[in-house]
Amino acid sequence: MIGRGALGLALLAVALVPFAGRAYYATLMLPFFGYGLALLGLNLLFGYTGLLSFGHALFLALGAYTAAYLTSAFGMVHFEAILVSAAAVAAVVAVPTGLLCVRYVKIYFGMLTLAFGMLFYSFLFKFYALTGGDEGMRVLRPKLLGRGFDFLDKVEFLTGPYYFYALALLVLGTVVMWRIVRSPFGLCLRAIRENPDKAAAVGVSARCYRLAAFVIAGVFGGVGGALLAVPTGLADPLLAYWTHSGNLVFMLLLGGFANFFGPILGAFVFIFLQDQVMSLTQYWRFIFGALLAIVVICFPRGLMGLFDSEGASAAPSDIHRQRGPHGPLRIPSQRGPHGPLRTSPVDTPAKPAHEPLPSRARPAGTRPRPLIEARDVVKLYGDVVALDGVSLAVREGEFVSIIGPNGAGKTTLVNVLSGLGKPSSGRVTFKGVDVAGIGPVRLVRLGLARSFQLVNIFPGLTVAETLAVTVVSRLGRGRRLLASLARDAEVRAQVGDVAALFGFADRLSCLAGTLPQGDKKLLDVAGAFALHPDVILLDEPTSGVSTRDKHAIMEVLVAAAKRIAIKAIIQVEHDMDIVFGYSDRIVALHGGRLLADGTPAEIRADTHVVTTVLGKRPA
Amino acid sequence: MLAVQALTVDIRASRILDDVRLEVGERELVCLVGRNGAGKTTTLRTIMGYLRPVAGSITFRGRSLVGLRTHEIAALGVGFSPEESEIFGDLTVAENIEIATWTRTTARSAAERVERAWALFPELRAYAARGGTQLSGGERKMLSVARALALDPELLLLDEPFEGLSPAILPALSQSIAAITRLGHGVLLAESNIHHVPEHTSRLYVIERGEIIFAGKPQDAQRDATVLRIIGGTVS
Amino acid sequence: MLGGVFHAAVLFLAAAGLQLVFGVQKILNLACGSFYALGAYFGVSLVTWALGAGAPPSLFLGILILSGVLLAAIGPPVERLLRTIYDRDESFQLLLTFALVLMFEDVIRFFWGTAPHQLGSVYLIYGQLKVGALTIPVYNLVVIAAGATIAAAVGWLLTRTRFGRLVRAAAENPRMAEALGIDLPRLYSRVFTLGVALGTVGGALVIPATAAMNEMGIELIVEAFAVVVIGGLGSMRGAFAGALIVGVLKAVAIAIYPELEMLGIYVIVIAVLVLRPAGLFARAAA
Repeated sequence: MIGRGALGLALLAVALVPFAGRAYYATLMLPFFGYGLALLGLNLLFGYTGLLSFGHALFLALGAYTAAYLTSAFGMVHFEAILVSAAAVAAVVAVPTGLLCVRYVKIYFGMLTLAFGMLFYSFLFKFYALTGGDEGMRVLRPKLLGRGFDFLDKVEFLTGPYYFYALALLVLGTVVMWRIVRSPFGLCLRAIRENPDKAAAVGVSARCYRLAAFVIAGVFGGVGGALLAVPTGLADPLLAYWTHSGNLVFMLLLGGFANFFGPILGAFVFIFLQDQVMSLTQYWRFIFGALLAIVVICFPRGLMGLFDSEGASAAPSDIHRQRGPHGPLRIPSQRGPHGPLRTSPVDTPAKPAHEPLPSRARPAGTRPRPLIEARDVVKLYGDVVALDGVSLAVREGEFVSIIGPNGAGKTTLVNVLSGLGKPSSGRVTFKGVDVAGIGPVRLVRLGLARSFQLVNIFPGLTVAETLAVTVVSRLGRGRRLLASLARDAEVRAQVGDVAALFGFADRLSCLAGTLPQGDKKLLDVAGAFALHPDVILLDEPTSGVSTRDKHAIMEVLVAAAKRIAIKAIIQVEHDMDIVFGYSDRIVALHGGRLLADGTPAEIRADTHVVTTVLGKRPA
Repeated sequence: MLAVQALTVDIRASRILDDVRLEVGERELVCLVGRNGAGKTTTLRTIMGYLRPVAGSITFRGRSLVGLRTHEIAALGVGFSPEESEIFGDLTVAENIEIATWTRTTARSAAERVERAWALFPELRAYAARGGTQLSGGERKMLSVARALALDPELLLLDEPFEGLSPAILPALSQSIAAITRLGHGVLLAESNIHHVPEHTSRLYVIERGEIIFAGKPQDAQRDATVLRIIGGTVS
Repeated sequence: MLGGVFHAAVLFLAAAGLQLVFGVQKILNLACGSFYALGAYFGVSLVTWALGAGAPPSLFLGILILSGVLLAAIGPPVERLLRTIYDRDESFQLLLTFALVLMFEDVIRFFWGTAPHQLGSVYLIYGQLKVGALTIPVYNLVVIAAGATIAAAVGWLLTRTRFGRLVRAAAENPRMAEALGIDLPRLYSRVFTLGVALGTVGGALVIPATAAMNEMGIELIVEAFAVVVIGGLGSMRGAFAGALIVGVLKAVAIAIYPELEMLGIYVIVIAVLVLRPAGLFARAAA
């Protein structure tokens, strides 16, 4: 990270440009302010959310044309009004385009944004009467804070009051964006970039957040465009052309999208390099193309990547670095010297007769209503029958294990129960609500969480951030755009809580991607618990963990479930010691059908299950 | 024929294989048994050159395979049938099999090699003109093995050939694999269920958490308590 | 209308190159427009030189096609450059091809300057056809026929030949193709070169009718891009149908309401992306 001193120095240097040297350099700085602002927005979209827009120039053009319209057509010369209008116009356009674009990711997102950009370009180009066609529209000198500065000539105005006005705007934009990326909202964006499916599984809807990021990026682009148009005095269609969008992405990459200040540095270097190279040779595009190729191939993290060895995740939020009196680092670690598993209150394995889940206390004789129920569920993948008429009900206080050989349909069943897959036929209800295929985000809100069979984490987030995403989602903090995540005591306390429970307390600042395999899975499980669900579905929580550690993990899970007051646990498990040691009920699947459903004792006595599932040959 | 020594493989900084050693001799059927995620697929994929080991050696007929590209390894005579079958849905069944005869020439003629593949899985012949996407899971498995065989490899790597197949066709496939060794090919077979291990297996390795924990005759493995505990799923 | 079909024939060639490379290597090559522009300039130069050297003017069509094929020699080195980032995120791949666009633009400026280059009226050598009140240069019909022939030839290559089957196998599952002994780098190099050749031949064929200009590359890429989106990424048949739709639509729009020329096409592109993101004629690669 850049130190505060360096930042202040850079700001001071920029502020002094108009006083030192020739006016030429000051005028050269003017586009930098506009581009810097636009790129801050673009980077929220690319660096933080993982969406590469090839049509972002659309918003710059919108801002520029708004300025042109207001000054030339309506005689509105107050720059503040122009900026607000540019932002509003950009937002109004960004919402519908964003709604369409964020349904897609990667290359399709890039293509769709490019198409919108070119759509606007051909509108500007062809509708001469409205837009001035290829000649564009004049942007008149605006009034700043109500003052016209008519006594200054054009260059004096631009390098004087306008320069500082633009600089102030860039600083303001930077501060706002800084707060956005460090807010709970910003954390959710990064989680979506890292793993949208996992984000959905903890209740963070990729589409909503992507749309919000798209609109914010658009607004920054609009304001940047208006800022750009004043020095040139012109809004022309080429502002919206796709190569202009390409140049924006170029600047972003040049500076380094993985760093908060990368885009600003990129804009600065691009503009000055362009100026220098253009004065040397008319073939500046070739030089720039070669430069871009070198950056892409050799320095994908841009110039900032050269300084910043830690920039793999865009500006990691400081939640785990906070060393205040209440920081998570102060949470006493219960973890012994040999890894996380010693956190369990009971260190000795295999205590089969576990204590019942908390809500089990109920009036004798009444059977509680099923919390989650599947009825005659059939799931087809093409012509493969994964589930063939499975019915299952899980009630409050139960710990149910699903067993069966590979390909029996266990994971498919968990997916259907957790709203990921829509059953081909049959019903799935949770607390009486039909949840077939409603998706994980809504199910999480209803109170159902899950962990995954295969490692499913946010590789570029730290342990603390991973847990914070979950807590933020549960507390509904994701909408807080400008709040500081690091100063949110409640989030911090809960993250510390779960981390301590699962033995991550002293590894809060480890990147999740660097954890050992077993701990990655445990982190996924910890995240599911942090959602404080009523029902939790665990898909092989202990696979990838050595046999001797399994019992310790199970003790942690049971203890955590009690503490969080989870009403029912459903797990898929292969290890029969665990299955028989902890379950109230065992459901055996085979070939997509329900083979047996009963207490451990009943299952043990079922010869059919013993031969097909447990793999024992009949004696 | 194939000797793997002290093979260690990391994937994204996680150790997946640790000091794996195994051997396959001429005409041998060797089984690598382990649970999901134990490292079977990683072992086969490393031999095939998809992954680069951090340490250890892989020698095939005296030649090191480490650092060779996958297609070079295939050209040396190592056939591969992956866990997910990965047949080409865009090509017909016949084209799937023929492909292997275009990329590697051996002493046998292309027609003979294709014929041997058909002979081993006669059921497939009826679907020769069908697209690969129109096959069932079991047929895909067979096609995948047949395709690897048409390469006329000296060593065949089969990743879970029995997985997801109905019990009814298991014996037939098991017979076919035995026939492959009689045709003069060595076979290294990865399997998660110890009861699926074919009877004529010459040697068996058990892998758990990336380490070989047992090497020996299948009958001995069936008697080994640790092995059974880990892969047999026995209730203690 | 016929002008639209003529444009469609050329557009198809460029878009087919884009499709082929995307279908097999999964790279959306923005530089395909640059190949098209290069083909046009190189074609002008070669024909001018050949005619000056005394070649019979009636051969110029052959010379144009030859120039396109010769120019495809830039394919392998460019592919070598792209190879460095096959395993990276597609954003980087897109950006690297954007870098190529910038570089090729100046390569053209360096060799041919900024003035438009024209072949003059040599294309009238094939005569003109009078249909009612219309006069159509026979050359336009020749290009349409050439476009259709190349479309058929590429189709034949991909579906009926050994090379085509290997390409389709590699497009569907490159890892598995390698395990069957397919030399992927070599295959990629060939496929990319074929893609370049389709673009350069397309560019060479168009210049008798219009002048070679600096902007033609970056303008074509957005049109070719519209074609592949409408037709479906990676689909050859889609490229054919998409090129026809875009070409004819453009011609109709210019005749009726010029303001809508490209606007209409983008509206269709967006509609297709939103309603059928896989394209109207989506099918697995090739």
